[in-house]
Amino acid sequence: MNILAIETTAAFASTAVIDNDECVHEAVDKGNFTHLQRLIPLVDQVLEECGMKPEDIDGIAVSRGPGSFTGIRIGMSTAKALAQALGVRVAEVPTLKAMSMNFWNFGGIVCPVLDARRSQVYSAAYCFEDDEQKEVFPEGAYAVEEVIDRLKGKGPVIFIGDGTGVEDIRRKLEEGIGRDAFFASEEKRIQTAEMVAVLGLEIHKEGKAVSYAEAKPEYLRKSEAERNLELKKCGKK
Amino acid sequence: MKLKPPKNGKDYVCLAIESSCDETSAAVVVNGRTVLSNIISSQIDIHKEYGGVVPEIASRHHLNNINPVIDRALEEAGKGFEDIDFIGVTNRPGLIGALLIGTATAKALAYALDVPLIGVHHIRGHICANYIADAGLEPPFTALIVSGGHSTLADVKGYTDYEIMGQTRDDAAGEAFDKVARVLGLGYPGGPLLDELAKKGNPEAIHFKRVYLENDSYDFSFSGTKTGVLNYLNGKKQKKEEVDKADVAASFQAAVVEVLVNKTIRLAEEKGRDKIVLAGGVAANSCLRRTLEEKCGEKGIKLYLPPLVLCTDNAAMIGAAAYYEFLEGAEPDNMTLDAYASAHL
Repeated sequence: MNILAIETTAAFASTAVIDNDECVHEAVDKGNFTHLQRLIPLVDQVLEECGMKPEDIDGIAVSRGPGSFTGIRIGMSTAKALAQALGVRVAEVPTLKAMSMNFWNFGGIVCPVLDARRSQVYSAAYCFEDDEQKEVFPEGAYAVEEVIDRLKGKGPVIFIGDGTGVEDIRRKLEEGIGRDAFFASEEKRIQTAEMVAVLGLEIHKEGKAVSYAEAKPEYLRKSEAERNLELKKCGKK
Repeated sequence: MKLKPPKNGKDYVCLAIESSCDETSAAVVVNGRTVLSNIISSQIDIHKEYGGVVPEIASRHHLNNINPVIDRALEEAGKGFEDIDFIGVTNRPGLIGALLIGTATAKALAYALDVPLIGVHHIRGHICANYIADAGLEPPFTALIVSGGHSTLADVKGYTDYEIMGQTRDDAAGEAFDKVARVLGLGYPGGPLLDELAKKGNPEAIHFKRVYLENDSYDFSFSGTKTGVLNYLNGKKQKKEEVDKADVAASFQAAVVEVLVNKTIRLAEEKGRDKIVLAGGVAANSCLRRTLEEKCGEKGIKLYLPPLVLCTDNAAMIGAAAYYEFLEGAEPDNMTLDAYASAHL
Protein backbone atom coordinates (compact mmCIF):
# COMPACT_ATOMS: atom_id res chain seq x y z
CA MET A 1 0.00 0.00 0.00
CA ASN A 2 1.50 3.36 -1.08
CA ILE A 3 0.43 6.20 1.21
CA LEU A 4 1.01 9.89 0.43
CA ALA A 5 1.28 11.97 3.62
CA ILE A 6 0.80 15.73 4.01
CA GLU A 7 1.85 17.91 6.92
CA THR A 8 1.07 21.66 6.84
CA THR A 9 0.01 22.45 10.41
CA ALA A 10 3.18 24.40 11.32
CA ALA A 11 5.52 26.83 9.59
CA PHE A 12 7.10 24.25 7.26
CA ALA A 13 5.13 22.19 4.77
CA SER A 14 6.24 18.65 4.05
CA THR A 15 5.14 15.55 2.20
CA ALA A 16 6.10 11.90 2.50
CA VAL A 17 5.40 8.60 0.81
CA ILE A 18 5.47 5.29 2.61
CA ASP A 19 5.68 2.51 0.06
CA ASN A 20 4.93 -1.19 -0.07
CA ASP A 21 8.23 -2.00 1.63
CA GLU A 22 7.35 0.51 4.39
CA CYS A 23 10.25 2.66 3.23
CA VAL A 24 9.60 6.38 3.79
CA HIS A 25 10.62 9.20 1.44
CA GLU A 26 10.16 12.76 2.59
CA ALA A 27 10.24 16.26 1.03
CA VAL A 28 10.42 19.22 3.41
CA ASP A 29 10.04 22.89 2.51
CA LYS A 30 11.79 25.51 4.59
CA GLY A 31 9.66 28.39 3.37
CA ASN A 32 7.76 30.06 6.15
CA PHE A 33 3.99 29.58 5.67
CA THR A 34 4.10 29.32 1.88
CA HIS A 35 2.01 26.15 2.02
CA LEU A 36 -0.53 26.98 -0.67
CA GLN A 37 2.21 27.71 -3.20
CA ARG A 38 4.55 24.93 -2.22
CA LEU A 39 2.42 21.94 -1.27
CA ILE A 40 1.62 20.45 -4.69
CA PRO A 41 5.22 20.92 -5.90
CA LEU A 42 6.28 19.05 -2.73
CA VAL A 43 3.83 16.25 -3.53
CA ASP A 44 5.27 16.09 -7.04
CA GLN A 45 8.82 16.08 -5.68
CA VAL A 46 8.29 13.20 -3.26
CA LEU A 47 6.42 11.11 -5.85
CA GLU A 48 9.20 11.66 -8.36
CA GLU A 49 11.79 10.57 -5.80
CA CYS A 50 9.86 7.31 -5.40
CA GLY A 51 9.39 6.94 -9.14
CA MET A 52 5.62 7.14 -8.70
CA LYS A 53 2.76 8.89 -10.44
CA PRO A 54 -0.34 10.24 -8.65
CA GLU A 55 -2.35 7.19 -9.75
CA ASP A 56 0.11 4.89 -7.92
CA ILE A 57 -1.16 6.31 -4.59
CA ASP A 58 -3.42 3.90 -2.70
CA GLY A 59 -4.34 6.26 0.12
CA ILE A 60 -3.79 9.73 1.58
CA ALA A 61 -2.72 10.59 5.13
CA VAL A 62 -3.10 14.14 6.35
CA SER A 63 -2.08 15.81 9.55
CA ARG A 64 -5.57 16.89 10.66
CA GLY A 65 -4.60 19.31 13.44
CA PRO A 66 -4.32 20.97 15.84
CA GLY A 67 -2.01 23.73 14.60
CA SER A 68 -2.29 26.80 12.41
CA PHE A 69 -5.95 27.02 11.26
CA THR A 70 -4.91 28.16 7.80
CA GLY A 71 -2.18 25.55 7.58
CA ILE A 72 -4.58 22.77 8.60
CA ARG A 73 -7.05 23.84 5.93
CA ILE A 74 -4.49 23.94 3.11
CA GLY A 75 -3.36 20.42 3.95
CA MET A 76 -6.88 19.10 4.48
CA SER A 77 -8.38 20.64 1.32
CA THR A 78 -5.46 19.36 -0.74
CA ALA A 79 -5.79 15.88 0.79
CA LYS A 80 -9.56 15.78 0.23
CA ALA A 81 -9.31 16.91 -3.40
CA LEU A 82 -6.47 14.47 -4.20
CA ALA A 83 -8.53 11.66 -2.68
CA GLN A 84 -11.63 12.78 -4.60
CA ALA A 85 -9.79 12.83 -7.94
CA LEU A 86 -7.81 9.62 -7.34
CA GLY A 87 -10.66 7.64 -5.79
CA VAL A 88 -8.78 6.78 -2.58
CA ARG A 89 -9.48 7.20 1.15
CA VAL A 90 -8.06 9.64 3.69
CA ALA A 91 -6.46 8.89 7.07
CA GLU A 92 -7.10 11.79 9.47
CA VAL A 93 -3.84 11.70 11.40
CA PRO A 94 -3.78 13.39 14.84
CA THR A 95 -0.91 15.88 14.54
CA LEU A 96 0.30 15.71 18.14
CA LYS A 97 0.27 11.91 18.24
CA ALA A 98 2.23 11.64 14.99
CA MET A 99 4.90 14.18 15.91
CA SER A 100 5.42 12.49 19.28
CA MET A 101 6.40 9.25 17.53
CA ASN A 102 9.70 10.84 16.50
CA PHE A 103 10.73 10.61 20.17
CA TRP A 104 9.54 7.05 20.93
CA ASN A 105 12.96 6.14 22.33
CA PHE A 106 13.27 9.13 24.66
CA GLY A 107 12.59 6.97 27.72
CA GLY A 108 9.98 9.19 29.35
CA ILE A 109 6.94 11.27 28.49
CA VAL A 110 6.75 13.06 25.13
CA CYS A 111 4.72 16.26 25.27
CA PRO A 112 4.08 18.36 22.16
CA VAL A 113 3.20 21.99 22.83
CA LEU A 114 2.02 24.16 19.93
CA ASP A 115 1.62 27.89 20.48
CA ALA A 116 -2.15 28.51 20.50
CA ARG A 117 -1.86 32.19 21.52
CA ARG A 118 -4.18 33.68 24.19
CA SER A 119 -1.90 32.10 26.84
CA GLN A 120 -2.72 28.58 25.69
CA VAL A 121 -0.99 25.67 24.01
CA TYR A 122 -2.39 22.80 21.98
CA SER A 123 -0.98 19.86 23.81
CA ALA A 124 -1.20 16.15 24.64
CA ALA A 125 1.27 13.74 26.21
CA TYR A 126 2.31 10.19 25.37
CA CYS A 127 4.60 7.50 26.69
CA PHE A 128 6.01 4.57 24.75
CA GLU A 129 5.97 1.14 26.39
CA ASP A 130 6.55 -2.21 24.68
CA ASP A 131 6.25 -0.65 21.23
CA GLU A 132 2.94 0.89 22.19
CA GLN A 133 2.08 4.58 22.30
CA LYS A 134 -0.02 5.36 25.37
CA GLU A 135 -1.82 8.58 26.11
CA VAL A 136 -0.82 10.38 29.33
CA PHE A 137 -3.40 13.11 28.75
CA PRO A 138 -5.60 13.74 25.72
CA GLU A 139 -5.16 16.48 23.13
CA GLY A 140 -6.70 19.83 23.96
CA ALA A 141 -6.15 23.57 24.26
CA TYR A 142 -4.59 24.05 27.70
CA ALA A 143 -3.06 26.81 29.76
CA VAL A 144 0.65 26.06 30.20
CA GLU A 145 0.00 25.72 33.95
CA GLU A 146 -2.50 22.90 33.28
CA VAL A 147 0.08 21.03 31.23
CA ILE A 148 2.57 21.41 34.08
CA ASP A 149 0.03 20.14 36.65
CA ARG A 150 -0.63 17.04 34.58
CA LEU A 151 3.08 16.19 34.13
CA LYS A 152 4.65 17.19 37.43
CA GLY A 153 6.26 14.34 39.33
CA LYS A 154 5.81 11.88 36.44
CA GLY A 155 9.49 11.67 35.58
CA PRO A 156 11.39 13.05 32.60
CA VAL A 157 9.41 14.88 29.93
CA ILE A 158 10.64 15.99 26.53
CA PHE A 159 8.78 18.98 25.15
CA ILE A 160 8.52 19.31 21.37
CA GLY A 161 6.68 21.59 18.96
CA ASP A 162 6.87 25.27 18.05
CA GLY A 163 5.62 26.28 21.52
CA THR A 164 9.00 25.35 22.97
CA GLY A 165 10.48 28.17 20.91
CA VAL A 166 8.21 30.75 22.55
CA GLU A 167 10.10 32.33 25.42
CA ASP A 168 7.20 32.69 27.83
CA ILE A 169 5.99 29.11 27.34
CA ARG A 170 9.45 27.63 27.62
CA ARG A 171 10.29 29.55 30.78
CA LYS A 172 7.09 28.38 32.48
CA LEU A 173 7.76 24.75 31.52
CA GLU A 174 11.36 24.96 32.74
CA GLU A 175 10.27 26.45 36.05
CA GLY A 176 7.26 24.17 36.47
CA ILE A 177 8.86 20.81 35.62
CA GLY A 178 12.36 21.66 36.81
CA ARG A 179 15.16 19.18 36.15
CA ASP A 180 12.80 16.66 34.54
CA ALA A 181 12.12 19.05 31.63
CA PHE A 182 13.93 18.37 28.36
CA PHE A 183 13.52 20.24 25.08
CA ALA A 184 13.92 18.93 21.55
CA SER A 185 16.47 20.70 19.39
CA GLU A 186 15.24 23.40 17.05
CA GLU A 187 15.57 21.27 13.91
CA LYS A 188 13.74 18.29 15.42
CA ARG A 189 10.90 19.93 17.29
CA ILE A 190 8.72 20.83 14.27
CA GLN A 191 6.26 18.26 12.90
CA THR A 192 7.00 16.75 9.47
CA ALA A 193 5.17 14.33 7.19
CA GLU A 194 7.31 11.26 7.91
CA MET A 195 5.40 10.16 11.03
CA VAL A 196 2.12 11.24 9.43
CA ALA A 197 2.89 8.62 6.80
CA VAL A 198 3.74 5.93 9.38
CA LEU A 199 0.64 6.56 11.51
CA GLY A 200 -1.47 7.10 8.38
CA LEU A 201 -0.50 3.67 7.05
CA GLU A 202 -1.63 2.11 10.36
CA ILE A 203 -4.98 3.91 10.13
CA HIS A 204 -5.46 2.69 6.56
CA LYS A 205 -4.52 -0.88 7.52
CA GLU A 206 -6.99 -0.82 10.42
CA GLY A 207 -9.70 0.22 7.95
CA LYS A 208 -10.25 3.50 9.79
CA ALA A 209 -9.51 5.79 6.84
CA VAL A 210 -12.54 7.83 5.70
CA SER A 211 -13.92 9.12 2.40
CA TYR A 212 -12.85 12.49 0.99
CA ALA A 213 -16.24 13.94 1.92
CA GLU A 214 -16.01 12.75 5.54
CA ALA A 215 -12.40 13.80 6.21
CA LYS A 216 -12.36 16.76 8.54
CA PRO A 217 -9.89 18.87 10.48
CA GLU A 218 -9.51 19.04 14.26
CA TYR A 219 -8.94 22.66 15.28
CA LEU A 220 -9.47 22.03 19.03
CA ARG A 221 -10.90 25.51 19.23
CA LYS A 222 -13.94 27.38 17.99
CA SER A 223 -13.54 30.60 16.05
CA GLU A 224 -13.29 33.80 18.05
CA ALA A 225 -16.63 35.05 16.66
CA GLU A 226 -18.40 31.86 17.81
CA ARG A 227 -16.91 32.11 21.29
CA ASN A 228 -17.88 35.77 21.60
CA LEU A 229 -21.41 35.03 20.46
CA GLU A 230 -21.72 32.23 23.03
CA LEU A 231 -20.45 34.53 25.77
CA LYS A 232 -22.99 37.17 24.73
CA LYS A 233 -25.81 34.63 24.77
CA CYS A 234 -24.76 33.33 28.20
CA GLY A 235 -24.68 36.88 29.52
CA LYS A 236 -28.23 37.50 28.37
CA LYS A 237 -29.66 34.40 30.04
CA MET B 1 -12.14 40.64 -32.32
CA LYS B 2 -12.92 37.18 -33.67
CA LEU B 3 -12.63 34.16 -31.48
CA LYS B 4 -10.59 31.18 -32.49
CA PRO B 5 -12.86 28.16 -32.80
CA PRO B 6 -12.09 25.35 -30.37
CA LYS B 7 -9.26 23.17 -31.62
CA ASN B 8 -10.39 20.34 -33.92
CA GLY B 9 -13.93 21.49 -33.37
CA LYS B 10 -13.73 19.97 -29.89
CA ASP B 11 -15.65 21.45 -27.00
CA TYR B 12 -13.70 22.67 -23.99
CA VAL B 13 -15.23 21.52 -20.73
CA CYS B 14 -14.22 23.55 -17.68
CA LEU B 15 -14.71 22.61 -14.04
CA ALA B 16 -14.88 25.97 -12.24
CA ILE B 17 -14.56 26.69 -8.53
CA GLU B 18 -15.38 29.84 -6.54
CA SER B 19 -14.90 30.37 -2.78
CA SER B 20 -13.81 34.00 -2.41
CA CYS B 21 -16.37 35.08 0.21
CA ASP B 22 -19.33 33.20 1.71
CA GLU B 23 -20.53 31.17 -1.28
CA THR B 24 -19.01 27.78 -2.06
CA SER B 25 -19.66 27.14 -5.73
CA ALA B 26 -18.67 24.72 -8.48
CA ALA B 27 -19.82 24.67 -12.10
CA VAL B 28 -19.30 22.84 -15.35
CA VAL B 29 -19.14 25.24 -18.30
CA VAL B 30 -18.65 24.35 -21.97
CA ASN B 31 -16.77 26.79 -24.22
CA GLY B 32 -17.22 29.63 -21.74
CA ARG B 33 -20.89 30.19 -22.60
CA THR B 34 -22.91 27.04 -21.96
CA VAL B 35 -23.54 26.25 -18.30
CA LEU B 36 -24.21 22.56 -17.64
CA SER B 37 -24.38 23.06 -13.87
CA ASN B 38 -23.81 25.86 -11.37
CA ILE B 39 -24.08 24.69 -7.76
CA ILE B 40 -24.01 27.44 -5.12
CA SER B 41 -23.89 26.59 -1.44
CA SER B 42 -24.58 29.81 0.44
CA GLN B 43 -23.53 30.42 4.05
CA ILE B 44 -25.77 33.43 4.41
CA ASP B 45 -27.86 31.92 7.22
CA ILE B 46 -24.72 31.06 9.17
CA HIS B 47 -23.27 34.58 9.01
CA LYS B 48 -26.62 36.28 9.63
CA GLU B 49 -26.19 35.76 13.36
CA TYR B 50 -22.96 37.78 13.29
CA GLY B 51 -24.28 40.64 11.16
CA GLY B 52 -21.65 40.04 8.48
CA VAL B 53 -19.31 37.48 7.00
CA VAL B 54 -16.88 36.08 9.60
CA PRO B 55 -13.75 35.00 7.68
CA GLU B 56 -12.74 32.13 9.98
CA ILE B 57 -16.24 30.65 9.96
CA ALA B 58 -16.50 31.09 6.18
CA SER B 59 -13.20 29.24 5.70
CA ARG B 60 -14.31 26.35 7.90
CA HIS B 61 -17.57 25.95 5.99
CA HIS B 62 -15.87 26.14 2.60
CA LEU B 63 -13.64 23.24 3.62
CA ASN B 64 -16.65 21.13 4.66
CA ASN B 65 -18.73 21.98 1.60
CA ILE B 66 -16.42 22.16 -1.36
CA ASN B 67 -16.00 18.50 -2.31
CA PRO B 68 -19.71 17.61 -2.21
CA VAL B 69 -20.47 20.80 -4.17
CA ILE B 70 -18.00 19.67 -6.86
CA ASP B 71 -19.62 16.21 -6.91
CA ARG B 72 -23.05 17.74 -7.40
CA ALA B 73 -21.79 20.03 -10.18
CA LEU B 74 -20.34 17.04 -12.06
CA GLU B 75 -23.41 14.92 -11.44
CA GLU B 76 -25.86 17.57 -12.60
CA ALA B 77 -23.75 18.19 -15.70
CA GLY B 78 -23.63 14.48 -16.43
CA LYS B 79 -19.84 14.62 -16.51
CA GLY B 80 -17.03 12.78 -14.78
CA PHE B 81 -13.53 13.97 -13.94
CA GLU B 82 -12.33 12.26 -17.15
CA ASP B 83 -14.42 14.72 -19.21
CA ILE B 84 -12.79 17.82 -17.72
CA ASP B 85 -10.36 19.64 -20.07
CA PHE B 86 -9.20 22.29 -17.62
CA ILE B 87 -9.94 23.77 -14.21
CA GLY B 88 -10.67 27.43 -13.47
CA VAL B 89 -10.58 28.83 -9.94
CA THR B 90 -10.98 32.22 -8.28
CA ASN B 91 -7.58 32.90 -6.72
CA ARG B 92 -7.90 36.69 -6.29
CA PRO B 93 -9.18 39.00 -4.76
CA GLY B 94 -11.27 38.08 -1.72
CA LEU B 95 -11.07 36.78 1.84
CA ILE B 96 -7.69 35.07 1.84
CA GLY B 97 -8.72 32.14 4.06
CA ALA B 98 -11.77 31.54 1.89
CA LEU B 99 -9.87 31.84 -1.41
CA LEU B 100 -7.28 29.31 -0.39
CA ILE B 101 -9.82 26.50 0.07
CA GLY B 102 -10.92 26.79 -3.56
CA THR B 103 -7.38 27.35 -4.78
CA ALA B 104 -5.85 24.41 -2.87
CA THR B 105 -8.70 22.16 -4.01
CA ALA B 106 -8.36 23.24 -7.66
CA LYS B 107 -4.60 22.74 -7.59
CA ALA B 108 -4.92 19.23 -6.16
CA LEU B 109 -7.60 18.27 -8.70
CA ALA B 110 -5.63 19.70 -11.65
CA TYR B 111 -2.49 17.91 -10.47
CA ALA B 112 -4.20 14.56 -9.94
CA LEU B 113 -6.17 14.77 -13.20
CA ASP B 114 -3.21 16.21 -15.13
CA VAL B 115 -5.19 19.05 -16.71
CA PRO B 116 -4.36 22.78 -17.06
CA LEU B 117 -5.24 25.15 -14.22
CA ILE B 118 -6.34 28.77 -14.72
CA GLY B 119 -6.40 31.21 -11.79
CA VAL B 120 -9.19 33.75 -12.31
CA HIS B 121 -9.71 37.29 -11.04
CA HIS B 122 -13.08 37.39 -9.25
CA ILE B 123 -14.14 40.68 -10.89
CA ARG B 124 -13.28 39.40 -14.35
CA GLY B 125 -15.60 36.52 -13.51
CA HIS B 126 -18.42 38.92 -12.66
CA ILE B 127 -17.95 40.69 -16.00
CA CYS B 128 -17.84 37.39 -17.89
CA ALA B 129 -21.15 36.32 -16.30
CA ASN B 130 -22.66 38.44 -19.08
CA TYR B 131 -21.22 36.16 -21.79
CA ILE B 132 -23.30 33.37 -20.28
CA ALA B 133 -26.41 35.51 -20.02
CA ASP B 134 -26.18 36.78 -23.60
CA ALA B 135 -24.65 34.56 -26.26
CA GLY B 136 -24.24 37.49 -28.65
CA LEU B 137 -22.27 39.77 -26.34
CA GLU B 138 -18.72 40.55 -27.44
CA PRO B 139 -16.23 43.15 -26.23
CA PRO B 140 -15.51 46.05 -26.33
CA PHE B 141 -17.91 47.53 -23.76
CA THR B 142 -18.09 49.52 -20.54
CA ALA B 143 -18.55 47.47 -17.36
CA LEU B 144 -19.85 48.56 -13.96
CA ILE B 145 -19.13 46.02 -11.23
CA VAL B 146 -20.88 46.68 -7.94
CA SER B 147 -20.99 44.33 -4.96
CA GLY B 148 -20.45 44.18 -1.22
CA GLY B 149 -16.71 44.24 -1.78
CA HIS B 150 -16.27 46.13 -5.05
CA SER B 151 -17.34 49.24 -6.97
CA THR B 152 -15.38 49.25 -10.19
CA LEU B 153 -15.74 50.92 -13.59
CA ALA B 154 -13.80 49.18 -16.34
CA ASP B 155 -13.23 49.63 -20.03
CA VAL B 156 -13.35 46.10 -21.43
CA LYS B 157 -11.34 46.14 -24.67
CA GLY B 158 -11.19 42.41 -25.28
CA TYR B 159 -11.98 39.08 -23.65
CA THR B 160 -8.82 39.27 -21.56
CA ASP B 161 -7.97 42.97 -21.93
CA TYR B 162 -9.41 45.12 -19.16
CA GLU B 163 -8.61 48.63 -18.01
CA ILE B 164 -9.82 49.85 -14.64
CA MET B 165 -11.07 53.41 -15.00
CA GLY B 166 -12.45 53.96 -11.52
CA GLN B 167 -12.82 52.33 -8.12
CA THR B 168 -14.25 53.23 -4.77
CA ARG B 169 -11.98 55.21 -2.50
CA ASP B 170 -13.79 54.10 0.65
CA ASP B 171 -16.90 51.93 1.00
CA ALA B 172 -18.01 49.63 -1.79
CA ALA B 173 -21.56 50.40 -2.94
CA GLY B 174 -22.96 47.22 -1.44
CA GLU B 175 -21.09 47.86 1.79
CA ALA B 176 -22.71 51.33 2.05
CA PHE B 177 -26.13 49.76 1.40
CA ASP B 178 -25.51 47.16 4.12
CA LYS B 179 -24.36 49.77 6.64
CA VAL B 180 -27.32 52.07 6.05
CA ALA B 181 -29.64 49.07 6.25
CA ARG B 182 -28.09 48.22 9.61
CA VAL B 183 -28.65 51.69 11.10
CA LEU B 184 -32.23 51.54 9.83
CA GLY B 185 -32.54 48.22 11.67
CA LEU B 186 -33.43 46.25 8.54
CA GLY B 187 -31.36 43.11 9.24
CA TYR B 188 -28.81 41.16 7.24
CA PRO B 189 -27.96 41.11 4.40
CA GLY B 190 -29.09 44.71 4.24
CA GLY B 191 -28.83 45.53 0.52
CA PRO B 192 -31.87 43.57 -0.74
CA LEU B 193 -33.96 44.62 2.31
CA LEU B 194 -33.08 48.28 1.71
CA ASP B 195 -34.08 47.90 -1.93
CA GLU B 196 -37.46 46.46 -0.91
CA LEU B 197 -38.14 49.23 1.61
CA ALA B 198 -37.06 51.95 -0.84
CA LYS B 199 -39.83 50.91 -3.23
CA LYS B 200 -42.33 52.30 -0.69
CA GLY B 201 -40.47 55.59 -0.17
CA ASN B 202 -40.04 58.91 -1.97
CA PRO B 203 -36.53 59.19 -3.48
CA GLU B 204 -36.78 62.98 -3.47
CA ALA B 205 -37.91 63.34 0.15
CA ILE B 206 -34.42 64.00 1.50
CA HIS B 207 -31.45 65.25 -0.47
CA PHE B 208 -28.32 63.29 0.40
CA LYS B 209 -25.00 64.46 -0.96
CA ARG B 210 -23.86 63.07 -4.34
CA VAL B 211 -20.09 62.71 -4.30
CA TYR B 212 -18.54 63.06 -7.76
CA LEU B 213 -14.94 63.79 -6.64
CA GLU B 214 -12.74 65.54 -9.26
CA ASN B 215 -14.38 66.52 -12.55
CA ASP B 216 -12.62 63.91 -14.65
CA SER B 217 -12.57 61.18 -12.02
CA TYR B 218 -14.27 57.83 -12.48
CA ASP B 219 -13.63 56.90 -8.86
CA PHE B 220 -16.43 56.56 -6.33
CA SER B 221 -16.87 57.61 -2.72
CA PHE B 222 -19.92 56.51 -0.77
CA SER B 223 -18.87 57.00 2.82
CA GLY B 224 -19.84 60.72 2.78
CA THR B 225 -23.33 59.87 1.56
CA LYS B 226 -23.59 57.16 4.20
CA THR B 227 -22.48 59.62 6.91
CA GLY B 228 -25.12 62.02 5.60
CA VAL B 229 -27.75 59.41 6.42
CA LEU B 230 -26.31 58.85 9.90
CA ASN B 231 -26.31 62.60 10.59
CA TYR B 232 -29.87 62.94 9.32
CA LEU B 233 -31.05 60.10 11.58
CA ASN B 234 -29.20 61.53 14.60
CA GLY B 235 -30.68 64.97 13.98
CA LYS B 236 -34.17 63.51 13.85
CA LYS B 237 -33.53 61.53 17.03
CA GLN B 238 -32.35 64.63 18.91
CA LYS B 239 -35.41 66.58 17.81
CA LYS B 240 -37.49 63.54 18.75
CA GLU B 241 -39.06 63.53 15.31
CA GLU B 242 -40.46 60.51 13.50
CA VAL B 243 -38.32 59.06 10.72
CA ASP B 244 -39.87 57.73 7.54
CA LYS B 245 -37.48 54.84 6.96
CA ALA B 246 -38.81 54.17 3.47
CA ASP B 247 -38.06 57.76 2.44
CA VAL B 248 -34.55 57.52 3.92
CA ALA B 249 -33.91 54.25 2.08
CA ALA B 250 -35.27 55.58 -1.23
CA SER B 251 -33.40 58.90 -0.99
CA PHE B 252 -30.09 57.26 -0.03
CA GLN B 253 -30.42 54.69 -2.78
CA ALA B 254 -31.21 57.43 -5.31
CA ALA B 255 -28.07 59.36 -4.33
CA VAL B 256 -25.80 56.32 -4.74
CA VAL B 257 -27.43 55.12 -7.95
CA GLU B 258 -27.29 58.57 -9.56
CA VAL B 259 -23.50 58.74 -9.19
CA LEU B 260 -23.00 55.14 -10.35
CA VAL B 261 -25.15 55.63 -13.43
CA ASN B 262 -23.84 59.06 -14.46
CA LYS B 263 -20.20 58.00 -14.25
CA THR B 264 -20.90 54.79 -16.17
CA ILE B 265 -22.67 56.64 -18.99
CA ARG B 266 -19.90 59.27 -19.11
CA LEU B 267 -17.25 56.54 -19.46
CA ALA B 268 -19.14 54.78 -22.26
CA GLU B 269 -19.48 58.07 -24.14
CA GLU B 270 -15.83 59.01 -23.64
CA LYS B 271 -14.64 55.64 -24.92
CA GLY B 272 -17.26 55.52 -27.68
CA ARG B 273 -18.72 52.24 -26.38
CA ASP B 274 -22.25 51.34 -27.46
CA LYS B 275 -22.67 48.63 -24.82
CA ILE B 276 -22.79 48.75 -21.03
CA VAL B 277 -22.54 45.63 -18.90
CA LEU B 278 -23.66 45.48 -15.27
CA ALA B 279 -22.19 42.90 -12.90
CA GLY B 280 -21.84 41.96 -9.22
CA GLY B 281 -24.25 41.43 -6.34
CA VAL B 282 -25.60 45.00 -6.34
CA ALA B 283 -26.56 44.49 -10.00
CA ALA B 284 -29.65 42.91 -8.44
CA ASN B 285 -30.70 46.32 -7.09
CA SER B 286 -33.96 47.30 -8.79
CA CYS B 287 -33.34 51.06 -8.66
CA LEU B 288 -29.91 50.67 -10.29
CA ARG B 289 -31.31 48.39 -13.02
CA ARG B 290 -34.22 50.71 -13.75
CA THR B 291 -32.16 53.93 -13.79
CA LEU B 292 -29.50 52.41 -16.04
CA GLU B 293 -32.18 51.13 -18.38
CA GLU B 294 -33.73 54.60 -18.67
CA LYS B 295 -30.41 56.39 -19.22
CA CYS B 296 -29.12 53.83 -21.71
CA GLY B 297 -32.41 54.08 -23.57
CA GLU B 298 -32.04 57.86 -23.84
CA LYS B 299 -28.46 57.57 -25.09
CA GLY B 300 -29.00 54.67 -27.48
CA ILE B 301 -26.63 52.43 -25.54
CA LYS B 302 -27.41 48.71 -25.30
CA LEU B 303 -27.54 47.53 -21.69
CA TYR B 304 -26.74 43.99 -20.52
CA LEU B 305 -28.18 42.93 -17.17
CA PRO B 306 -27.28 39.43 -16.01
CA PRO B 307 -30.00 37.31 -14.40
CA LEU B 308 -29.93 37.41 -10.61
CA VAL B 309 -28.33 33.98 -10.14
CA LEU B 310 -25.34 35.17 -12.17
CA CYS B 311 -25.10 38.43 -10.16
CA THR B 312 -24.25 36.65 -6.92
CA ASP B 313 -20.92 34.92 -6.49
CA ASN B 314 -21.02 31.74 -8.56
CA ALA B 315 -18.58 29.41 -10.27
CA ALA B 316 -20.17 29.50 -13.74
CA MET B 317 -18.90 33.04 -14.26
CA ILE B 318 -15.42 31.84 -13.28
CA GLY B 319 -15.72 29.09 -15.90
CA ALA B 320 -16.55 31.73 -18.53
CA ALA B 321 -13.58 33.92 -17.58
CA ALA B 322 -11.22 30.93 -17.36
CA TYR B 323 -12.26 29.80 -20.84
CA TYR B 324 -11.28 33.07 -22.46
CA GLU B 325 -7.98 33.22 -20.56
CA PHE B 326 -7.33 29.65 -21.71
CA LEU B 327 -8.39 30.24 -25.31
CA GLU B 328 -6.45 33.45 -25.74
CA GLY B 329 -3.26 31.62 -25.04
CA ALA B 330 -2.67 32.52 -21.42
CA GLU B 331 -0.08 30.10 -20.09
CA PRO B 332 -1.88 27.79 -17.69
CA ASP B 333 -0.86 28.53 -14.14
CA ASN B 334 1.73 26.15 -12.84
CA MET B 335 1.43 24.31 -9.58
CA THR B 336 2.91 27.19 -7.57
CA LEU B 337 -0.32 29.21 -8.05
CA ASP B 338 -1.08 31.27 -4.93
CA ALA B 339 -4.14 33.18 -3.64
CA TYR B 340 -4.23 36.96 -3.13
CA ALA B 341 -6.51 39.07 -0.94
CA SER B 342 -6.14 42.03 -3.31
CA ALA B 343 -5.15 42.15 -6.97
CA HIS B 344 -5.25 44.34 -10.08
CA LEU B 345 -8.02 43.51 -12.54
